[in-house]
Amino acid sequence: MTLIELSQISLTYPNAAAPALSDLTLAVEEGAALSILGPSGCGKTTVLRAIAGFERPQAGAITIAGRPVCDAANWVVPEERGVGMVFQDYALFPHLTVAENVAFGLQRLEKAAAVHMVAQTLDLVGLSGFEDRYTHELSGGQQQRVALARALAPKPIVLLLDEPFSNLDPDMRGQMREEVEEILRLTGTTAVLVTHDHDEAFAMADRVAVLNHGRLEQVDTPEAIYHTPSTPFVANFVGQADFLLGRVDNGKIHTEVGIFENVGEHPPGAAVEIMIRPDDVHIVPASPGGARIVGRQFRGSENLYTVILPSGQHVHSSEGSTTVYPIGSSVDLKIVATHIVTFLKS
Amino acid sequence: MASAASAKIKGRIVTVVLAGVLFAFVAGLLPATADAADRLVIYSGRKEKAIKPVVDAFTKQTGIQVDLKVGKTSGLANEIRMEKARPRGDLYISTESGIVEILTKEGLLDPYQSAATKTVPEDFRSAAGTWTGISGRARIILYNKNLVPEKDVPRSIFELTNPKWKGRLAIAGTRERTTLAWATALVAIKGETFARDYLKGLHANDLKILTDNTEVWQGVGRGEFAIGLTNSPNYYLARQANLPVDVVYPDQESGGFGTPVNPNAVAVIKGTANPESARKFIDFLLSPDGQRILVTQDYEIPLIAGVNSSEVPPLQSIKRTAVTAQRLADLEEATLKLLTSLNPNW
Amino acid sequence: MTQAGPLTLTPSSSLAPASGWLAQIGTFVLLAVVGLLVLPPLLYLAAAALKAGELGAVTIGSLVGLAAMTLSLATLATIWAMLLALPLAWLVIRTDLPFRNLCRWLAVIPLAIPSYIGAMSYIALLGPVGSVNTWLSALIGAPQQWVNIYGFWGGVFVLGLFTYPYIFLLVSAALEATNPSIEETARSLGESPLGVFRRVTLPMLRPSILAGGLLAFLYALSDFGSPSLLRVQVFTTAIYHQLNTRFDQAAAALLSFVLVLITIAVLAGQQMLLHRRSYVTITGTARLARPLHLGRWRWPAALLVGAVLGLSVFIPLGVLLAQTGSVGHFLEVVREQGDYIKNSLLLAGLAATLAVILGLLIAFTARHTPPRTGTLLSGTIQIGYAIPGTVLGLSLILLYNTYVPWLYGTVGVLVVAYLIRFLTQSVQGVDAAIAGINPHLEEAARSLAASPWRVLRRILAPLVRPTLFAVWALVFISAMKELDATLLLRPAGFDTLPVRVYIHTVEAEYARAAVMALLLIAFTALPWMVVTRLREKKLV
Repeated sequence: MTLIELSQISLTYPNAAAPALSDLTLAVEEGAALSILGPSGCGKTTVLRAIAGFERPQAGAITIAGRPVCDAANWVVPEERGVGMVFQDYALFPHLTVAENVAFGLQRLEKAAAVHMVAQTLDLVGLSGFEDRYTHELSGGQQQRVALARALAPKPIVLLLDEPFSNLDPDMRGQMREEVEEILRLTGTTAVLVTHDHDEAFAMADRVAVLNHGRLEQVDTPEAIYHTPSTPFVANFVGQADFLLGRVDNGKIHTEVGIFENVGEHPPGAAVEIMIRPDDVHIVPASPGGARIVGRQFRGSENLYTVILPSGQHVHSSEGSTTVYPIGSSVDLKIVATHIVTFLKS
Repeated sequence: MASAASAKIKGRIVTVVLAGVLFAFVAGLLPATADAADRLVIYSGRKEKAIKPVVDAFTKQTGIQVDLKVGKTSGLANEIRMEKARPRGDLYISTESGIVEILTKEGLLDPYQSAATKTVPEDFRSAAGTWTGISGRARIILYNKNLVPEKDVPRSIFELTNPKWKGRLAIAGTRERTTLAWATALVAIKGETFARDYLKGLHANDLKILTDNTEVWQGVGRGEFAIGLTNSPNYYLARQANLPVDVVYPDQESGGFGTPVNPNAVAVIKGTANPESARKFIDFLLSPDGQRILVTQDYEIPLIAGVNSSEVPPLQSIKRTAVTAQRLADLEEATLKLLTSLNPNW
Repeated sequence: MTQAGPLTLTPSSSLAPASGWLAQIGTFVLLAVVGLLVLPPLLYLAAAALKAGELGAVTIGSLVGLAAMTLSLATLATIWAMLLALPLAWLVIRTDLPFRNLCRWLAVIPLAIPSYIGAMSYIALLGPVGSVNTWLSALIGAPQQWVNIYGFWGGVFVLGLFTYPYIFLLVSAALEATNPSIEETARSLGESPLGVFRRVTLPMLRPSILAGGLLAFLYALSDFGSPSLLRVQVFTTAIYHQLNTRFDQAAAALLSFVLVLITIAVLAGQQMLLHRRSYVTITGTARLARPLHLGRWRWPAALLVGAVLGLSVFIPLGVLLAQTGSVGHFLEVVREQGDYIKNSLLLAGLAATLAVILGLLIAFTARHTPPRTGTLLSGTIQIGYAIPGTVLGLSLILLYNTYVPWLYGTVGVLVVAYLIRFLTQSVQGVDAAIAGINPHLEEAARSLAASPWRVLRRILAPLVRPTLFAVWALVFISAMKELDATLLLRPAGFDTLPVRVYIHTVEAEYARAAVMALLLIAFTALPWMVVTRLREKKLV
């Protein structure tokens, strides 16, 4: 069942030159985790705040669990939407204890029921025994768990998370991601997660929506986003991508490096770009005169080579960490791509 | 941890304390605001120093509590006019008689004839019985003994237009009603043209118009001015402060202008909530005890025969300016116009 | 911070409108309350003024003359205040002046000394036959008036002397918070310290100087006590004079109306000039400028600071103590006037408590209304502060006597007057504090189904509690010191400390006046210093 539906949302902040969101249409299925991915300023946090009710779009409609909360005729205030939110800075109430924070949304419950729920939720996030601590006494990771617990305790219709891991140390992030993902799965919570980190989006979400300057570029599974990006922007954003110039001739695309299938069925003679990822590009030592290695980045698990083609174009290749091709070596490139992604050259 | 529980208790305590404080404030102020029907409210144009001793003695004798409001005679008269619909004051004490005549005309006073009223000379009480003089003050010339040699001492106010007094004269402005009454008496007896010329002459001598009589006697006493036109009690006050001053009761020669004597008048405000207490107070003022305080402590001239005046010259020894209170009331407005047309500081 | 500059209530950062019908009604009610509190007196005043018809004693000529006198007094007093405040602020914040922390603390004390007490003490010292004249005359042997504090220049002197702390506070805060690297760069490029001050620091300080200057100007414009005692003919004293000698309040109303117009004009100018919030936001640099080493300028600087503090703090206090006489006499007067002391404390306490509650409600509601409503609200409240006390007293008399007679003549009217005058302080302080709270906290609470009332009660109010105490103290102090309106509105028998000071001064009972004055200073200066200390430590 579709839990959240945004149709043609447009929002411009006052005194802003450009709209924050343009004609955005998005849906979230029950029990699923959607990640909204994009660079800073793309409008992803705005989407979240619009769902929560903290921003009001100038046009479009939002429905939560079948109930219209925002359109020309309706406006439901945030406190009545049943939407839980975890803020980037956690926004814990500094003057209340952990237990009081978590219990804050449970005012409708009886005292005993609330206490039980608090205990249960704290147990879920692994903070049993922390009831009487104050938030300033906690570490970053613990604070985040409290924020999560607080948002989860009232059993919200959907949980919104705004860059939840960006304030954590990098080494904590991985662990927290796993834990949060586990919690969401266990509780069956529908979640919308906003991030600028594509690793995070891929790891946590069932579907990823990529936003660019307020426009939705693509909504798909992480694999599809990565392997079959629908625009060059998406391609570039979710991973290293190079674009080979080619021309359609005789039903195939001819490039400097090789000949590929005309998957996109572009017209004959058209100039196209083929997206390749470093892991698609393999280096074979060759005699001078062709491509040449001009750079190498050691990355622990791989070597990322920068290769210059005779035409002057740069492509990247990811090879194993043990084999090292010296800079300056002449090489041949072999492209082995599972998916061919082509774009008409604009 | 214990801190959470104690913090909660602390919060509760603070709330209770605050509520208690608010309650205390309101409760504490209530007695002050409660319309205690047994408190007598007196509006006194006479200064506090002068009237408080009488009030205290009255309270001691009768047990009736008094709320005293001290201010300028005109200002208090204004208040009485404004409070017409719901009078807050019970008694009015003025510093001269013109004002109470005006109030009588406006129907704002209640007549009351104490047993002792008949002992007050006729020109010091209202024909309609609405006000009674309780004591008198003469318009005298106060001079600094160090600055004015014996031979130069003026015996008439009309000498003061002599150029030798230039820059050495002071008088209180019409905020002091006794000044206004003095000027009105001038107009009444000598006519407007004469009065205008005389006053012009005083202004040609740089007559300094001060805010009140205290400044006049202090200024003369300390040598800022040689001559001050003020009221008789101030001579004694200056003497009390060990200032080198002396006094002249001017224009005493037969056929002369005479020394104006202004009665302090007491009147019952119409619609008072405390007519009984008000009348008792008037009785007290006119009784030997009350008169003694007024005369000995305040150096006022007793109007009632038989009251020992100690230092103050008895009423009969002063040749008074022959002007009635009614006349003063009638001519007041014109006099005021005359004064302010000559100098805005009046 | 003290009433720092134009009051602009912070609108909520989100675009979302006021939540729910309950909040809408609440907003309306609040607007109505505030409006009814502040506007009717003004409107009634305007009506009375227009009814004036024949001006009587008030001619156009005298009106122009009064305006000229009042405006020039205020302007010159402000300039004098700036001359006092700027060097002091710079020396205390940016140099290694000895005891500079103590000086900074002392420099604020004059705010606790009402101008009328300051005037009284200087009259006793520099009056025509005050101590100085007497002493000099005794020395020379001939009675002569060497100095005379009375008059226009005396008014300028005293008013500037007791309003310079407004400028001092704002400028020193600005000096503390601004990025020192600009000045240090200028120094490294060879500019002398004085040059740096003139060409770099001064322009940076301009907003604070202007803001503080406007505060001082407004104070001088609307003050009654000191011009009255120093015999300067300005609007407020003329209004009072009219009230006390004329039966027709029309002239007084007219003068009041003109004064209010002038005040509003000044306020409008203030808004235009400083339409951004004028209290300084911390730039984020934790580093303070390295204190300038004074070297051989140490003693002249200390002398200057000593002179300023001497004139504004030590001399007035000294005169008051001298006039009080002995401790025994002090206690005697205290016992005698105990009721009035109680009155003052209770009244000020009640006004402060109500102001805090209202301020919290108003500041919170304003955040959830459309910006235009917020501006309307803040403008209305600020008018209340700007109305001179004498004018307010007059308009309340006129209005309440006619329409709300059960309140007129009671302590209630005094409370209303104080609220009208001092609500601004409360709203401004609370608003600034709420604005300092992370907006996400409020949003988080709302996402947890908290109604606006619950947000206020459980999240915002507890978090701004320190500020609430500070605001309470500030309103308490202002109410304790208030003279102008109280003189006109007080019920019979209910005098406050300032009224006692005034009456005793007018009746030449200087010893009693001094005792009352000292008590007043004690009740206002002490809470003031505590609050200032706590604010410095960022505890409130």
